[in-house]
Amino acid sequence: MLIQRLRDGSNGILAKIIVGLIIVVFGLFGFGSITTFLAPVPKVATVNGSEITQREMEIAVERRRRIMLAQKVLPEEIDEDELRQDVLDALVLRRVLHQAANNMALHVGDKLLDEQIVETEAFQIDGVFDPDQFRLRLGGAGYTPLLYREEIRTDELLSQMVSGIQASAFLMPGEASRTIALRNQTRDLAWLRIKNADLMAEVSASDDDIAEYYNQHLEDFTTEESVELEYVELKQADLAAKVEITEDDIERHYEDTKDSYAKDESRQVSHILVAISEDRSAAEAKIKIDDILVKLKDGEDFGTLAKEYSDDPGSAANNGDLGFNEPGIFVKPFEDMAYSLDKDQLSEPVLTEFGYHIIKVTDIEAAHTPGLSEIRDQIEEAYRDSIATDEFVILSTRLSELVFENIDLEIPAQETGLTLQTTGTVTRNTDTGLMANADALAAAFSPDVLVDGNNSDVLEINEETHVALRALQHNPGVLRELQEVREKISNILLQEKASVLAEDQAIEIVDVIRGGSLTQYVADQYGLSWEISEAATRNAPDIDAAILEKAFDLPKPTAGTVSIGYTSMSNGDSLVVKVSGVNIEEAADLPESEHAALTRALSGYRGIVDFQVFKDSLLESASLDKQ
Amino acid sequence: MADNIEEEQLEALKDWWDRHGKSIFVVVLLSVGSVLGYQAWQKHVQEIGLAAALIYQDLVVASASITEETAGDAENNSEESQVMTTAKNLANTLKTDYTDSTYAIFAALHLAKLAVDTDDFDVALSELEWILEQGVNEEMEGIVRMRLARVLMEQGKTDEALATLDVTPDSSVQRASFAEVRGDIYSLVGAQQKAREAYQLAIDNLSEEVNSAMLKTKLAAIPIAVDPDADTDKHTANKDDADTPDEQDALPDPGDDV
Repeated sequence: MLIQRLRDGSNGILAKIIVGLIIVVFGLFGFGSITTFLAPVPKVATVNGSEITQREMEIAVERRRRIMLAQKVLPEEIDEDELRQDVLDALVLRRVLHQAANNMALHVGDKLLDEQIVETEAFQIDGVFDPDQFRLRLGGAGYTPLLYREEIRTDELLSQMVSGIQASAFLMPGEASRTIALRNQTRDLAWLRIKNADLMAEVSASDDDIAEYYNQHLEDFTTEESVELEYVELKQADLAAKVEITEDDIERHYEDTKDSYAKDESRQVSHILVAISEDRSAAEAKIKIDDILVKLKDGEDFGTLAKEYSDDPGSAANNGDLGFNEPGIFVKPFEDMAYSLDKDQLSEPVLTEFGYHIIKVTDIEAAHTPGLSEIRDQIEEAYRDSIATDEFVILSTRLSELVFENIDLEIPAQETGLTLQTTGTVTRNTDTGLMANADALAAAFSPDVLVDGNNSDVLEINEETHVALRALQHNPGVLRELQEVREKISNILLQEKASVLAEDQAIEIVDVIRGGSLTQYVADQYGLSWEISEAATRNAPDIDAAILEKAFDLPKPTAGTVSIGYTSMSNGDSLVVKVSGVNIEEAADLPESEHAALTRALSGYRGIVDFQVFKDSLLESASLDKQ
Repeated sequence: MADNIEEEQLEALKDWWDRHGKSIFVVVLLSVGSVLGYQAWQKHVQEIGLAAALIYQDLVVASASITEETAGDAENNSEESQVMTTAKNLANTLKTDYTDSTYAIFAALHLAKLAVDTDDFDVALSELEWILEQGVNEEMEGIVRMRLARVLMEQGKTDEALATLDVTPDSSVQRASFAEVRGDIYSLVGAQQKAREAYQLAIDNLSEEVNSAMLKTKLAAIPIAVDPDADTDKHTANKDDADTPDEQDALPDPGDDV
């Protein structure tokens, strides 16, 4: 109705008012304000009122997944929930830090961002920024140019905060000395080792225990699934080798393409440069170069003068020689002069952005198109490649149709002239041969191939190799009989029980000693003996890491007392550990340089901790609402 | 008929415009003016911020090269002081010309660090105190207070150091990291019971990333309490994964039997 009315009287007053309003709103707030009126976007979390959208989340998850895959993590090893949780946490932290940067009114100039983009190697072709490459790379990672710019803006803001807080951290000299002294402390310790193996005789495993363990760990007793594959491999190089080729073909191809082998005239040039710099004005440089020119005209040797006077260090050492170069290498005024000189003629001084040059052409190689005999091999190879490339595409398409139409690979192989090959037995963990390719491995274990017995699609191993495969024989994992694995289970159970017994004994011993019994007496009671180490360092190589970890975690005993505790080791042994003395010496005898290096490392660490505290407290105070 | 209605509407509109036109005009003018004014102000703020950001970038580079030089060669003094002068000039420019910006705060943090590097602890103190006078958000304030307390501790002013930490931040992470510094101070003056409690509080409340092995080492270096009033049990037991080794007591080693 309203629209109808508007159209009827589009030069009526009402229409003018509305159009005017639209102009005012867009004019003042920009076209972006239109989104304010659109439907809400699906979101995964709200951080201090700012939304993280579903789309942002999905892109970030995919990006993280791709990084993991690139690091050779297998697709089935990725825990989807964990992945999503990690990504969401990272997005939330980033948003919180970004908000903090805004609240702190930190700024990043657009110019800096543009420079960064242009200098990013991934966006360059032959060292020059390429807009198409830029968009291609961004598209691959799920960014738009605008979005990408905002991402690196955020990166810059965060790095300002890091340099403000983390890089300004320091460690006081006293703190450094005390910390180093603590790290270098030694402890006088003794320990009892209660060996799992010694207690095996005292425990037993019943049939019921064994059956229960078996039923709870069926997966452990199942053999690995495997498959034997048959495949055909289409390789462009094989096709190229088979191309039938006549002398006529080669000659024709040479005629067609010889221009691309042609070489422009190239000249060997020497020069002497008198640079214009902060220390030398243009006028001074001109006087100096004129001086050199006079000497040259007087017959002095060009190379000697170049060595003595030229400010181009690279060529000066070579008598001023710059080697053979084609047009397009040098700056314009230099090049113009170099290509207007005769051989061995001296130029007048030429001014370029570097300064004044005197140029001499020492050799000229004329423009030249190589004859067929010179480049016969290259021509033949290029011709074979050009034929093979076309054939490869045709055959690959044909192969695609054939593998789809047939139940096995016999006919596809015959029709395309390829050989049937086999892989031998492969498992999901095989990563050699054909299975080194993740797509091929995934196809081999896809339900379509493995269960339904179909041919796979044509897989692109690389640009010049395509493969189709099928399963010859599938060996699903087989559960081994209880009887077969009985012994093994019994052993596992005995070990477990002995470990528990060892730990119980350790607890008892600690209690008895706490109760006031003499340490030697207690050891004798259990048939054990104390091992001793005086003044052991934290990293003493001859003592088990578990003993050291426990010993250095125990509180320092006061004079004449001991500190005692126990710990269990991964091999099932248990240890009672006793500390009778702690020796903390001032770091005086540490060499100066080592002390300085440690202090730097520790103050760097202090910075990391400071920034972590900053981040953690920001996260703590953020209002977070996860959908 | 239709023409009549149209005319009547137009009449009414004209009438309405005569009555309210002026005020509407003023309101529209005011709102357009304020939006444009706000945008101009925003642009101005943006430009000032950018100028400060550029100076700050240079300061960061200078400050980093000082650290590197001290790392590489301590004897290269003349060169070092030149970069040092540059860094100090840049930082002071931020503090005087952009006093209200966060970059001034960052500059003062860097000046404090440079002062500590050259043992000018009083200068470090005044830079950090200047930040507190300026007023910063709680997250930053916590970091500054810890640094202040650690400089004071170095100067032996332990009471002042403790006083600096005598605030209760909202953030439990900040409270816990204050506790670690407090533990350091108590440990330095020999108040072992208080040091132990402070370290334990820090260990219990800090996240894995911040809760360093160093913190546990500090706790383990505090001698076992010999408090005649507390326990009579004379040995210390400590299990691996027991979270609260609270009953740390001591007793004479029952023999040279080892």
